[in-house]
Amino acid sequence: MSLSASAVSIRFGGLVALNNVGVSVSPGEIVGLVGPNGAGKTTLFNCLTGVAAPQQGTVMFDGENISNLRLEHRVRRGISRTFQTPRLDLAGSVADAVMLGFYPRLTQGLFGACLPFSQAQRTEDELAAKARQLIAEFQLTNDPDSLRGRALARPPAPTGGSTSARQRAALPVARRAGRGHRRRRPRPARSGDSRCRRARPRRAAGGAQRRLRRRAQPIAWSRWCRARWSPPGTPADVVNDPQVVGAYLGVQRVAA
Amino acid sequence: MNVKARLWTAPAVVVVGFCLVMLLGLVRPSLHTTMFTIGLYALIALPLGLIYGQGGTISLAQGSFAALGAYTSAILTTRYGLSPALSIVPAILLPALLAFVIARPILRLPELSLALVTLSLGTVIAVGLQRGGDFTGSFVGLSGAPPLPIVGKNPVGTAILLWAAVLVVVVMYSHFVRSLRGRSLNAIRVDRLLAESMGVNVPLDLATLFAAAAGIAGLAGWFYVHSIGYIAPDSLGPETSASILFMVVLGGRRAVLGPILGAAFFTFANDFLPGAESHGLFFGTILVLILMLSPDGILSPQAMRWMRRVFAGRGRKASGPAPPVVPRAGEAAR
Repeated sequence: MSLSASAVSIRFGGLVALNNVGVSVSPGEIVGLVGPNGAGKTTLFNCLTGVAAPQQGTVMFDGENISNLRLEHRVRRGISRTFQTPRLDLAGSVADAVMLGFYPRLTQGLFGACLPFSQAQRTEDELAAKARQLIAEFQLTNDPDSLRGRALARPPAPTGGSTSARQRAALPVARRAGRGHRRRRPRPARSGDSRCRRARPRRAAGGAQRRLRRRAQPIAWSRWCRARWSPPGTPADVVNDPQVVGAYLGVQRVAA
Repeated sequence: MNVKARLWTAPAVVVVGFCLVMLLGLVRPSLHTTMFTIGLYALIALPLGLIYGQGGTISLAQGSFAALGAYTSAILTTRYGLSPALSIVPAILLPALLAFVIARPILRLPELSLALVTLSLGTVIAVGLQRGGDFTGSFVGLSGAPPLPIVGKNPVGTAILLWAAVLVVVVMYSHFVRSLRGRSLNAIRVDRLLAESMGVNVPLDLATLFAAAAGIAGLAGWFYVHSIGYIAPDSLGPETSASILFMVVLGGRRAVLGPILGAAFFTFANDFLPGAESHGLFFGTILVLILMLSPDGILSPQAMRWMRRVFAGRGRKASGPAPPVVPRAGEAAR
């Protein structure tokens, strides 16, 4: 029940994105990864989730070497991945987008999905009901079947635009929550993340709240800063930690 | 309209439309033959609508897969005395198997390259059938294929049997696109990485559907050869593939009924237009005009929403204040 990578290296041509990097996450632990632009945060996530294959080193999950497995096979083993920009079908509804997250639990084949009155169609009804629960829990939209998919993807309007951004950020989390996975990969942080922090549903039911509000224990890692530490404190303390600020904005900023 | 009812809209339209035209056929018997042609094209075009409109995988080999099915059945029945009721199995399986084997390497290509590769594949099959010597009847083709089982040479019975197959495909198609598997197929078209990150085995799913499309085209070929009685290299081939793609794009690639509408349009236009040489001019102009107005074809989600709004407005006037009708995304397409 643990995810670890050891001595992982990836280079794109002459550019060394990851050089001999190791990371390990034990069950129940929440780990964040901070570093300046170009430090290789996304590449490490790509490497752990199977979007990029490591040229050296191994990725282990539950004692199994998954270095050479493709993304979809890792997903089936219980690793999920969200992206910096939420990926969704702009013409589809929110219900459809959330239901896509149930895919790894699917058991019937292609043929079963075609038949009327089959087990597949009954499962479909149950999943639709579950998707509606999740949409309510994460306050994604009031009208799950309408064209809100398009609205979710629209760039935030000058006024009240944060609603849209909040929903967009919460959609992938809702998708994964429906899956009942053991472990969720947080996506790399990006600029404008204060808005994503607001994405947490404040008054949401207990489950979602617990999932999203557990305290983070970040690992700071970058090409310059390899220290690993687990500072005690709230997320606010972590954000104001000089080492974190330094990793993002450069050391001068901390001194100022 | 609830979700369950929506699943049966397209099959209901097919049944009602078929019955109406067949009744008109009592007055004008040539309509039965027209209906057979439409059904044949619809059977080849429907699975292309699924893999292209929903899955984003274009194919210009459907006509040649149909020819492969037709030749398989013709050779087995005329040379080896097999009954058409049995030769239907290899007529479906052989194109499907070939498609499945070839799908793995080619389906990762971008759309334009895929169109060219499938076109070449169709041409290779067509040339192979042409140069097959006595085995495939060379340029003359094969004749003397026995009539269809059960219905024989009766044009009404043939049309009913063919449209029963079309109906089965339409029912399966409608259920498939509303299922989780269908949603994942749409995800593959929109964003492959998204589909993979949801755990979709993209190469396997696409290859299976590509093979199923080829198998259904083979079934259409079986219908063709046993109702007409002969098959020649010109009957089905790369030109048919191009027409089939035209039907899908014109009729509406996102909608279940789009390919059928395209097939009907193509067949009726062929019947009424004078001179085969001018057909290309007419079809080209129509295609450009339609795609300028509605990029997703005639039965596009936008067009369906507009129609629903018109009908909903009329319904409200008739029955007093009705609950507000929310236009639903892609309802028509599913």
